[in-house]
Amino acid sequence: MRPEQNSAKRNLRKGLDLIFVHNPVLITGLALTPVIMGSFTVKNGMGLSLVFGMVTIPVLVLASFLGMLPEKVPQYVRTIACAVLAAVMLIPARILAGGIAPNLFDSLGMYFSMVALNTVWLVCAPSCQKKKPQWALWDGVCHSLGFLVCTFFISSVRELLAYGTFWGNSTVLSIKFPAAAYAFGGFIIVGVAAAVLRWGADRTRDITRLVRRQQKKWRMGR
Amino acid sequence: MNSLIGVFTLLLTALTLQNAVFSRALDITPLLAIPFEKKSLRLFGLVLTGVSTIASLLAGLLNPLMGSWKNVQYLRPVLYIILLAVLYGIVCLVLDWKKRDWLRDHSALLTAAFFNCAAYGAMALTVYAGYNWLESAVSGMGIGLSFLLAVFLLEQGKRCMSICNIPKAFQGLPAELVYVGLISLSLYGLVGHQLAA
Repeated sequence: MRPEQNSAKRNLRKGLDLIFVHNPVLITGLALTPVIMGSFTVKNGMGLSLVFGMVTIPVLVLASFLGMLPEKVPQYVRTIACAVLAAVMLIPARILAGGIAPNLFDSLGMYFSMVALNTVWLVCAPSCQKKKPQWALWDGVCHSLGFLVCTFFISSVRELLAYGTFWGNSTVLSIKFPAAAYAFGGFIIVGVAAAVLRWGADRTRDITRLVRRQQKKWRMGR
Repeated sequence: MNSLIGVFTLLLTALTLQNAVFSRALDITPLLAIPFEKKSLRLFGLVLTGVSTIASLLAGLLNPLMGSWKNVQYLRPVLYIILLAVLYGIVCLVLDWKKRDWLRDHSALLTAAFFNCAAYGAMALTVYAGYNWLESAVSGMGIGLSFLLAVFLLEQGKRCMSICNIPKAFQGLPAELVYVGLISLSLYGLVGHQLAA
């Protein structure tokens, strides 16, 4: 019973790490295209996150079920099944995303559909084939939350800088940098955000280590 | 003669001013995040060039047939991805039959070359730009070749960065993203755009 509980704890913690410490976009560098090209307003960013979740979660769960097939079934057949499901999921995703921003599909053009070919499921699907469906689902949810956190932060900064607005409403910011909405602005802002997150994660790790060392010293002294 | 000049111009534009990586951020992940070796990245670029050329040629041939469909703009992405999946299946089937060892060694590379933003973007651009089948194929080839150009430029950038004293937080992906952003900015300036006031 104990090893099972430990592995469940480990899986839970691994999943939670995907939101900040091992963020799929800012730390691992996966699914960069939609963030750089599509997340220039908060509405777009949230719409993209919804599409990302609707594509990635079912594909990772399917990958887990495909892992139960006999070994005779080649890996490329499993990949094709995942790609077809990702493509089909674009249809309900478009309908739902229309609720957030009615013209999201038109304003993002080809970048909306590119979320179906995000590198997160391509990289994670082989490892999800060895996991139970519930853990594949947990992986998908945590990857989607990590993507959501990243797009919310990046799109907020870009919208504030480029248009001086937040969710389409005007703010007190009077200086505008329209360049933040362009591709090169996206590259630079995502790069700087990745560095800031790394710096923050490193400092947090250092502080945790220091606190643990102090606790150990305190216990030994007692 | 005019069409030949047009095709050459299209290829040159796809390589430089509308570079798939620097102007459209297509396929930036295999370039920066997936740990391919230098040789494998070039092989990936060559496979990607082949895939994007064939895929956009097929898209260019299919587009006129799909023109009269209802809600075609919503169905087109789904069909394009299914087309990529079919192409991938055919190539894997042939390799599984003829060169099984090569397929086993390069399966990750092959999967990444077929299911990526550049291959899909090459197909989608044929619609947005209204290309015919020849222009579609040339534009697809340009996208693949522009990835190879980006590989070369990034190799030079990484070489220079390795001898610089970069802060720890910026080492690796962040510095590379900023470097790609600066090249993208220079290409943007080359086109002669003016930012909105």
